[in-house]
Amino acid sequence: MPRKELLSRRFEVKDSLEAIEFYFQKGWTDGLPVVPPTEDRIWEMLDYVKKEPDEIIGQIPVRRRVITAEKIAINAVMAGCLPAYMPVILAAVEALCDPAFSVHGPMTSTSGMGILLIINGPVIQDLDINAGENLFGPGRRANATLGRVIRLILMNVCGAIPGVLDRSVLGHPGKYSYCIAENESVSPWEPLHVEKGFPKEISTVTVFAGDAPHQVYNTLSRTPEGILTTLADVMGNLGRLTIHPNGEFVVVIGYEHMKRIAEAGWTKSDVRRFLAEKARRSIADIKRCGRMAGDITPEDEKTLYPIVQNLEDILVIAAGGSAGSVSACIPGWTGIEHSRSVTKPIIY
Amino acid sequence: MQPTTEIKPQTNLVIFDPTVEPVSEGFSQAPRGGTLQGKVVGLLDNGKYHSDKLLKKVGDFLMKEYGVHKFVLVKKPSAYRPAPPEQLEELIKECQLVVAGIGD
Repeated sequence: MPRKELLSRRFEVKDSLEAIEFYFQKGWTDGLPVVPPTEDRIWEMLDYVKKEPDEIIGQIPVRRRVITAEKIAINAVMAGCLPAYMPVILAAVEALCDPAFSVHGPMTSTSGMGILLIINGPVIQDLDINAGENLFGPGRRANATLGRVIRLILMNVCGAIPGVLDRSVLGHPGKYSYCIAENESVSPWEPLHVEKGFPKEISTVTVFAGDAPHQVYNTLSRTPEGILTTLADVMGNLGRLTIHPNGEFVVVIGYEHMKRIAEAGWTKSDVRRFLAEKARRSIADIKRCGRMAGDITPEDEKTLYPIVQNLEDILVIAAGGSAGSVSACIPGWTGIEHSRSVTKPIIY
Repeated sequence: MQPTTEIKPQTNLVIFDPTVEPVSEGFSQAPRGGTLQGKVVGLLDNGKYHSDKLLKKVGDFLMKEYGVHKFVLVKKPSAYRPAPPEQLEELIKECQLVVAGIGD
């Protein structure tokens, strides 16, 4: 059967360097050079997932955008992805287009959220996705280019052009690329996707509209209570985006902290319960900084306001390097009625 | 020593457009013109802080300065999502024109 034609506009340039410059001039990059998307490379992406160019993978009705396999493949080439990454990208796009995630808000908001991808399951090993040292940092092709292709798709396909539709005041570096995996091979806990009801042998991607990672350091405490009290304190800071107790958090427990917490017999559920209980601020504190209206009453000094209302709104994952007592919390965008994390299976 | 790969002279490169335009079928502009005198105007509040206060002032202004008969203020449950169908129905039923915008 003859192959369908690619439907996108074509341009002819002299060579790869001229192509790279062409994409800069068009404003079709994230500010870094891209790999020129040639017909062969685009087809390699499509063939890997057996998709026709015009197959619709997702839609964003509020922006009247249709996301086809071809556009995903073009942006995947540009980001530097391997064809084997395509199943992850398709699942991530499906998650972005899920009404519960509602990508329009986080991709446009002045608060400057990044779209964090959390990968679980066998695909971590198969695609060499980093779950360990330098978790959020550079150095691994899969993490760097998977996070990057999502940003390119948001810009080129969904219209989230910085300064036009993306009106972030500051943004954060995770808006270039923001992709991590759970360190399932060393964690004694149930991985995130199993907690969400998927079998362990299935791979998943979770999308989460998140602030930058806030690192939490505690090298001396040997107890879960000590370590998690420092984490809860960072979760409860008065400057976080949403002061209302209906937002999500991703909590990344670093290796050393995980060991100490797990050795005390604590599960992820115990971690969540403790954090939800401890991450509180007095109404008086919140009023003093003007983030809640009204005069401060003596009662306000004693009344503690919960940062998290539902335990399942704390997504706990174990990840990061084996030396150093560092964990992190990533505050979510705003209330879950506006956007909540979504997990989709990766079919490959 | 023989090279392991043959280096071909550079030929022209064909590259592709990564962008998408919004789908515009099914959308058309409502007829313009006429006056606001005696009309019922809908104001779609996106739900951001104090947007209702601002829009109430806009509504009062339209009544005072342009003879608008009345205004209907509808508050979306989320600034980041489209208005639910029942709210749109309410606006269609009651109003001759609706102002929707983005405020922050």
